[in-house]
Amino acid sequence: MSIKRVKPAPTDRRRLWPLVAAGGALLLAVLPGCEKRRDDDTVRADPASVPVAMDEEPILPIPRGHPSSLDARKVALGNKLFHEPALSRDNSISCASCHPLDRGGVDHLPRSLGINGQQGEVNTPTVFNSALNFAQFWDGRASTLEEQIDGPVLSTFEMGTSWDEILKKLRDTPAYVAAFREIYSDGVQSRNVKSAIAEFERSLITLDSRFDRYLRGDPFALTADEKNGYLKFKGYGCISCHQGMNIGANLFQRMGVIGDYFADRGNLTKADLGRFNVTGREEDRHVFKVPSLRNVAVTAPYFHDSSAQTLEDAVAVMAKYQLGRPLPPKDMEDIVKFLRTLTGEYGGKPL
Amino acid sequence: MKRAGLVGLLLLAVLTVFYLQRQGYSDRQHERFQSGLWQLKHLDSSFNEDLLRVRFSLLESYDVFQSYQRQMDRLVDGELVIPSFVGAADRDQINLFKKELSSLLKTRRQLFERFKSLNAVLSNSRRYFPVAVDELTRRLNPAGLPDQELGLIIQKITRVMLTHDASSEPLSPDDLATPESLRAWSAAHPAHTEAAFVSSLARHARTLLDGKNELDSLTRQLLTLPTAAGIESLSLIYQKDLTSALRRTSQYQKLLYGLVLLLAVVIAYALWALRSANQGLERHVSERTADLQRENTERKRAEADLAHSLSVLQATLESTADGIVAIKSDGEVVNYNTRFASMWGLPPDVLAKKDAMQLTALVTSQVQHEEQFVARVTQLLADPPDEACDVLELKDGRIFERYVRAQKTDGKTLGMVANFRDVTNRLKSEFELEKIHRQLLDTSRQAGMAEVATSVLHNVGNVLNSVNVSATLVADQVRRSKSPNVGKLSDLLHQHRTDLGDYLTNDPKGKIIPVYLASLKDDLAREQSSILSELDSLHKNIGHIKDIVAMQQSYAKTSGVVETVSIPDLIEDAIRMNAGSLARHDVDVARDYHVRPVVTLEKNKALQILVNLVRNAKYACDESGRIDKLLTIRTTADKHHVIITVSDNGVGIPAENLIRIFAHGFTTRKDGHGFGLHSGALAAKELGGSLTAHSDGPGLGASFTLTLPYTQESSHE
Repeated sequence: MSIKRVKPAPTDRRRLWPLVAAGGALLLAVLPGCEKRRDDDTVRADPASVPVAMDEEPILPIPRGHPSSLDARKVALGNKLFHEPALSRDNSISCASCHPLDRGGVDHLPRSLGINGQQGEVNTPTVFNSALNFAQFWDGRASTLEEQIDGPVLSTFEMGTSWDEILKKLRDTPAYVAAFREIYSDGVQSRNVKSAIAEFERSLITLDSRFDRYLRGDPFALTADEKNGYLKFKGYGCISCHQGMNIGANLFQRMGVIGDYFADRGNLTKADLGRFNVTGREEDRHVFKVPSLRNVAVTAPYFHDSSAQTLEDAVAVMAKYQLGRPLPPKDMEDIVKFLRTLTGEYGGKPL
Repeated sequence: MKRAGLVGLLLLAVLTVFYLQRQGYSDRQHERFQSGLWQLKHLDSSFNEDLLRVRFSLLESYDVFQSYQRQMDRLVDGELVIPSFVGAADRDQINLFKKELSSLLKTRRQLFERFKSLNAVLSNSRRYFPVAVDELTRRLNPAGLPDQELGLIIQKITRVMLTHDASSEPLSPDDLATPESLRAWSAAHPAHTEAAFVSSLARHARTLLDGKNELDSLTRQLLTLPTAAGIESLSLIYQKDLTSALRRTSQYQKLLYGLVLLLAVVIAYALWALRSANQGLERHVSERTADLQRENTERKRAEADLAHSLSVLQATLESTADGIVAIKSDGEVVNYNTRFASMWGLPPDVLAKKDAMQLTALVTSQVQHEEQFVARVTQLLADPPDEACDVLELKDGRIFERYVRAQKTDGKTLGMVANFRDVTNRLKSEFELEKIHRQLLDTSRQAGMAEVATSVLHNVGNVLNSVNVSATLVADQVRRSKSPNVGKLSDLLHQHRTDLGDYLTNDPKGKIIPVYLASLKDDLAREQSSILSELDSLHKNIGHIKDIVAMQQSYAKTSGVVETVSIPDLIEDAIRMNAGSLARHDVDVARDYHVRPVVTLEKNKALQILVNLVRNAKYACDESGRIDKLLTIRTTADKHHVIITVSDNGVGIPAENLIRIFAHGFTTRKDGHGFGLHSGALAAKELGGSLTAHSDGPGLGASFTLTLPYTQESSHE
């Protein structure tokens, strides 16, 4: 038996660990391919980019849970700003004045009233599901919700104010200053006001309309007439424009493909030129954004000029000028019935 | 260590530079750009694919295009960030391509908006046309076509529509005219119930025919937009840059690896150095700890020793009969003992203050010659001498001896220690003692002289006794000598000188003369021999006297002549020296010699002892008055000694006298001087032996035992 050299005390080795670890870390740091991949580096897959299967209906239900990944703080601030009269020059009207959320997101007036009782140029479209529109305004001159906000705010006959005025007012309100500061590092700024409001608008999605339930596979969600109405809606070609998740609002179309609507109506205004006002191209004359038909039953009056007071009127005008013929009464009736199934719920309640 | 650190720092700097250089190529940037390119390609092809699907009604929603366009716009206008490693020239080119691509996408967007509108219209008509034809047919004649002309037109237009939609061949002018013929029919029959319906159908037919060409043209334009080629060019330029960047990077990478390796070596060395330094440190620490422990132990021991020493010192201080006080140079009293306080009668509170001046004042008041004392104290405190001693006389008559010693540490004087001793009594005693001593000296001188004289006289007297005896014996023998008978015989023979023969033969008287002569001869011879013997003894005794005198003369010198003598001879001498008195007092002498050793000793001393003992025994016997006076002399021996015991059956010795029998001047005889046994004991001791006495009591005799070594050691100088 021989006694060999005593091993170094474990404490010695333990004391060396941090150094070894530091050396290892250094090596790792300089080695390639060890960089941590950040999540935001990969471009997010857009749910809408998923190819649509052929056998699917031209209309898609709005997925339950949509919209996902919103900033709740921005939504809350946007909600406050949406109802903020300070966004108008005389503090008389807010976004909600023309887009009352409890009335389908529209004021149901042919022309909304701006500051000093001035009338607007076109019918107010609903704010609900506006996030699903491919462009904003009847003529599609704003491609985003943020961009859209400039329109009514700066329009002399709507809110008639300027961002400087608005920001001054907001900055004088400690609650806003604090709320902005909490979300945005640069506090109260016009882009942040727009960001918050747009974020709020993105939350204004109506879910679970009866038709959506039908599309999801509930055959009892629609009555026979309504189902027939949908068939007619497709058969008469309405579906050619009113398709997609928002049942329209993803293309421009001329008002009066077959008949000359404006000639018949007369009293032409600049607004009647539609997209021509934006592009200046002759082919865009009287071309408008195809409006979404979701919640159409609760967003009367219809068309950019509020010429149709009822759905029947609207369907009749469409049949006349886009199809070139009157619809049989039964078909018309069923189509209107079908259109009434497109009303969804917001906050758990139907609009 | 320092150099290694410097090298490490330098390496680290170079490493950082290389790392930053290597950073020129970034995986993250590359991946981002590359994936952007792939997405662009994918989106572009998906767009075209879905465009065709929409064109041929295989896809009936435009939602996807919105997403394609948005993503592509986002990529081209922002997210497709050119990596930093792309060279400036290529960067410009890529940017140019991007710009081109961006404008292409804008063009496509416009074209596509037009496409959507047109496609929607066409799709509407395409959907509606068969429905309308069917409805018209049913309306016109539930049982068949009533109007031949309209029927034919409808038939024709239905065929044209069916073939047209599926064929890419241009239509014949006749076919192209069918919508017109339908419209013409409508115009020709304005009153017909279905005129409006037919007119609208004609519009749809016209739309389908006209729109198809335009839609096809639009579709072609969209599909041929060189977006894919733009993306491809962009990708090619990028690939080139990527390759060179990768090559560059791999070079730096290699350098970096080398450096890292080097750095690792440096780190390892640093670690090793650190570790060995650490071990050295640990060793040092442990050694130091051991040292400290040892020092601590030593210090503790030293402290304990010190404490012990202190306690010993304090005990010493307290136990000493002297009063001790230690005073520092500045006058502070460092220490003192209780004896000091009691000597000077100092109250404890004054001592507690440890103020030398106050103390001095108190002390000063007690001494005679105060000024002198104060001056001396001041001088002592100022410059304590190494050692000083003086005497203080106190007013109360006490005398203190003061002994002062400087207290020094490392040659520096810190103070002094004063030692007071009350010498009053000692001085007195010393004085008296000296007086006594003087007297004693006188006495002893006288006593010594007497002793010597006595001893000499005694011894000479003893021998003279023998001489006297011998002389008497010789005188007696001479008086009783037969020698006168020789005269008578001579006279007789003279008378008969004539007839001598006859006389001697015949005369009765004359006849006995020869016999008588023979007897006389014998007697005379005997006489002569006896006298000669006595004379011899006499001679010997006179020699002895001479010896004694000579010995006594050199008494003070003590050391006698060492001779080798036979113990029995010595004893016989002693007996002989007392023979007269023994005979006179009728004391029998019994000899019991167990041994007859020859020893080397101072004969005189031994003889003196023995003579003394014999004489004492004779006295003791004589005093007892008994008739069977017996003196027994016995010799025995042990290993080293000859033991001579002289016993008598005389008066004995009382026990109380036994202990002082050898004391100087002790005697029980009225004419004794108490010197014999004393000097005997001394002599025995001088001979290296001893003299002891034993008696069972008065009347029971006594025995004295002289023990002598075989060889006299020089037991005295």
